[in-house]
Amino acid sequence: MSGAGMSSAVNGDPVLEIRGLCAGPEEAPILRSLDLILDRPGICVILGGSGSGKTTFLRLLNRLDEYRQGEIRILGKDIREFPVPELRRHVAMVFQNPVYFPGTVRDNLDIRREFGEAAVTEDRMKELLSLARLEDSLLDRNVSVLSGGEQQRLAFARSLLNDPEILLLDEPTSSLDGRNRDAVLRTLRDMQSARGNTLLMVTHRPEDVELLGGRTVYLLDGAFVQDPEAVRQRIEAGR
Amino acid sequence: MNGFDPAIITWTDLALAFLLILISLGVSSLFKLKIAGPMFTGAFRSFLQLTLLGYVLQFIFGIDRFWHFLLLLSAIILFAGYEGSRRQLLKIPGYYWMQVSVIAFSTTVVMGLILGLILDLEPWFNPVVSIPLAGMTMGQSLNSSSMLAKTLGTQIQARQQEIELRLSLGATRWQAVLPLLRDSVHTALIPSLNSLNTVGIVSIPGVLAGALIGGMQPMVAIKYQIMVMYLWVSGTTLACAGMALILARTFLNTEHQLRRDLLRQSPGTSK
Repeated sequence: MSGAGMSSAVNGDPVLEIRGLCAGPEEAPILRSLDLILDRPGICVILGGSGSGKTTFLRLLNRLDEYRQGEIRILGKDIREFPVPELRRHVAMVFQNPVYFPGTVRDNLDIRREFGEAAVTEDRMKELLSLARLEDSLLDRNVSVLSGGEQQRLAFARSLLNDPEILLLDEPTSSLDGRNRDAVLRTLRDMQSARGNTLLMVTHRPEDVELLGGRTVYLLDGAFVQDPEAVRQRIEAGR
Repeated sequence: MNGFDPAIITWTDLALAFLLILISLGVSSLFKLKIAGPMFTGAFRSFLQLTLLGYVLQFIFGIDRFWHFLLLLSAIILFAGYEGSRRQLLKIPGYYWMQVSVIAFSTTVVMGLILGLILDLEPWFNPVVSIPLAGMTMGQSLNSSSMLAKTLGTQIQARQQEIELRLSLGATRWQAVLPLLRDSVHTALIPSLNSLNTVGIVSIPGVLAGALIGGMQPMVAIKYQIMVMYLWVSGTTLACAGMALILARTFLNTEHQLRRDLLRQSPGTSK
């Protein structure tokens, strides 16, 4: 486990512990009293239809938004006890549409230099590209000419810059075609296996669940439910 | 100066000068620009406001009390805040006071230097000199800072994914928004920088023209104009930097989160 702030909290605590999590206004809640415990590193997929609160859930874990009620603990520590930038180094997020900074792949992987930090070494960049199944030769390629699949893989590589314990993935395959989608999911699975961290992905595609494996949780109208069929029907109805 | 009496201009002359506005109204009508209304209102307002200012200045120039000077400046700043608010696309809570603060800040610093260090006036705030200079500083500060606010608001709205990506990579709110602040301040300062480079060659600024017509010796008028140019640039830089910092604090909270609630509102019509 990396990061000085976290190492003291490890000692057998669950990777992620969520209790009674509520978000959105009381009269029209987006998330309703969610409970979820991930005891150890691994893959967890949250399957839910459009508007079920998947993205909101991930944004709360990354503290991009605030929750109204409940508790989120990462490795035993309440996320509100972390300085927010430090928390985000432990809990990284990949957004639904690949977002990139103008410039080359190298510029994107060396983005922390803009934050006044040391430059990322060439070896580290190559290691990150390799984890995301991208060729070293792409380092000096402009990101705008990469394919959608390559841009999404670059987003994975970049999200690993801080060596996060938890990687949040917001429908990372939604903008990809079938072949690219399967390849990207396999990359994610291999990345998790190589790094031994926790992947928490939300998706509306039951096929993603089968391909990625791991634990599956079902989200319906802002609540975790035990009935996969109800969620699948809602997804089908929305297609 | 060659027997010219600047006081020859009459109210009748001004009424005839309105023909110049009629030319613009004609062009607007010909090309259906739909700006005849605002142009007519603007021409009328500028006439009214400047006439009123003339009477106020006649009064102010006749007295030597500091609190009169201060009262007039405060009134102009409060009005400038209102003007700045009207120009914004996004309705930012407390924007009026943000605008008032940056204009007051830039004017205080610039006028403090001019009155305390550069010019040796009697009394030290001599309104004949300080009111026009402060008025120009405030006008420039208003224009540049409201333009900055408009640009920055639009930029943050358009680039919110990029900002949140920086935040999610562990950037602080300042680090996340810094590239946008730089771009916006740069854009807002371009007119001032351009005027620094073209003054005297491409354009004769209004201050210089007014001073020359008013009978001032050319070299004396030029010295004032040079000071005014420097005053413009420092005033606009301070106002833009101040506004950029205030807006960054408004759009990104202390928890390093982007206030998406401020960006969701549908933009109004630019005025």
